[in-house]
Amino acid sequence: MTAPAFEVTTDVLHAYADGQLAAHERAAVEAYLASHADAAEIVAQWQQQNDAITTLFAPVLGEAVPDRLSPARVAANVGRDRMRLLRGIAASLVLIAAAGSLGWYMRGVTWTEEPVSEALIDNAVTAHGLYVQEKTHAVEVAASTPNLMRWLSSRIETPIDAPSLSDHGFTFLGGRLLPGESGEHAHGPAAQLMYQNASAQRVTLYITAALPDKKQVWKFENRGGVDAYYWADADVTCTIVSDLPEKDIRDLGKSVFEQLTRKPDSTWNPSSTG
Amino acid sequence: MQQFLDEIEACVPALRRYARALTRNADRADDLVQDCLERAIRKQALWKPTGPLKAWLFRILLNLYRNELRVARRRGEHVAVETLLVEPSVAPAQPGRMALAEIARAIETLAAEQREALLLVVLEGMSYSDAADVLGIPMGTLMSRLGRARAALRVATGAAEAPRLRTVK
Repeated sequence: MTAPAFEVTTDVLHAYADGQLAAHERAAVEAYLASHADAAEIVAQWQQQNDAITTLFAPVLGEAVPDRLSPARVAANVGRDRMRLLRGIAASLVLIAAAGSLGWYMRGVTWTEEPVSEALIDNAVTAHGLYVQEKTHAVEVAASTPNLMRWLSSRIETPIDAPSLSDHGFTFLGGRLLPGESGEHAHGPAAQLMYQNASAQRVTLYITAALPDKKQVWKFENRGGVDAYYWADADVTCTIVSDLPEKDIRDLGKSVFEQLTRKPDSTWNPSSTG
Repeated sequence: MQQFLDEIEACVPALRRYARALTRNADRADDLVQDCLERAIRKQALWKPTGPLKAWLFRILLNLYRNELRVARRRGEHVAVETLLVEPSVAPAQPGRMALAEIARAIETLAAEQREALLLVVLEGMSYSDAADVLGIPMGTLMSRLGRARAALRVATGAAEAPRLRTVK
């Protein structure tokens, strides 16, 4: 049996200097270095660099670790911060309850740990509440406008078509562009699409480009009297907002999902609601 | 929770050493580590027990360090080059060894991205694939940063008059 061919490349020499080779590879490199003095000298210098760097910072490992870097202590501080936050929220709840407008004010209270999805749902619900009550200016650009979807697609930097919900009795009214958010819950700009049925009930879709993690997430949440059906995947995030019965929203959600997510292998996952 | 904290604690000395090597300043380094621990503990739920905890912690530390650099640059602040922790009290070394003061100065001349990569591999002894993962770069990029870092160190320590690596692919 012959040993597999082993080519000594620059990367292999680095790996040799860093002690990342298996024994037989090491032997091959040593044979190579024995006959290549130039390479041998450079590798020796790399090893000297490694030695020097390791020696230079080795004393840090021997130092006593300061108290403030004890994980138990850090955890206690984090816990205290959380308690303070909770207490702060609790205190404001009391005030707000007294003012009788709890739902409204709680919109602004954000838990520092909350995922971007929560911010997206918040924004979708807020935008829904703001625009569905408009009679004449419910949408910024009417459905009949040519290139509406091309414009929105380019602005949210993700190709989307307006899903057809006519099977559910809903007509596409048009859409508008809404700003993204920066900071901890950063997301790109959103396209809001509005639909209406014969009884003037309205549904909005709040669509953004996929989040960086491209993870599949599903949520169904009730926020201040409307339901929000949210999902995220590798293509988009979409939040469907409406005050229709939950079952209708879930049906709409299935239809929207199938039309927005073109990948043939993507699966509808109605059971999991996050 | 206790086990999680214990595992973090085991990584603290290595985190401190890496932070010290990055910042060359003991206080700033420990501030970074403290921020890193806080963030890790806050985000504990996000850590999946599948990946190694150490790599996750180093990734958090690096992100904090990079943010700090970015903010400092945006503010136009000058991040002072502090006195080195190990001042050249060490004798200008024996033949075949590199003077520590010399290497310390040479490290400072490296581009930040080269320094991050080199120190992960050399100080932490991380495998190339782990290091690439922590740095969020492809393996090829890691190797070229490593190569450039080492070449720059050779120049900075005056070793570069010696032969160049041209016979090797």
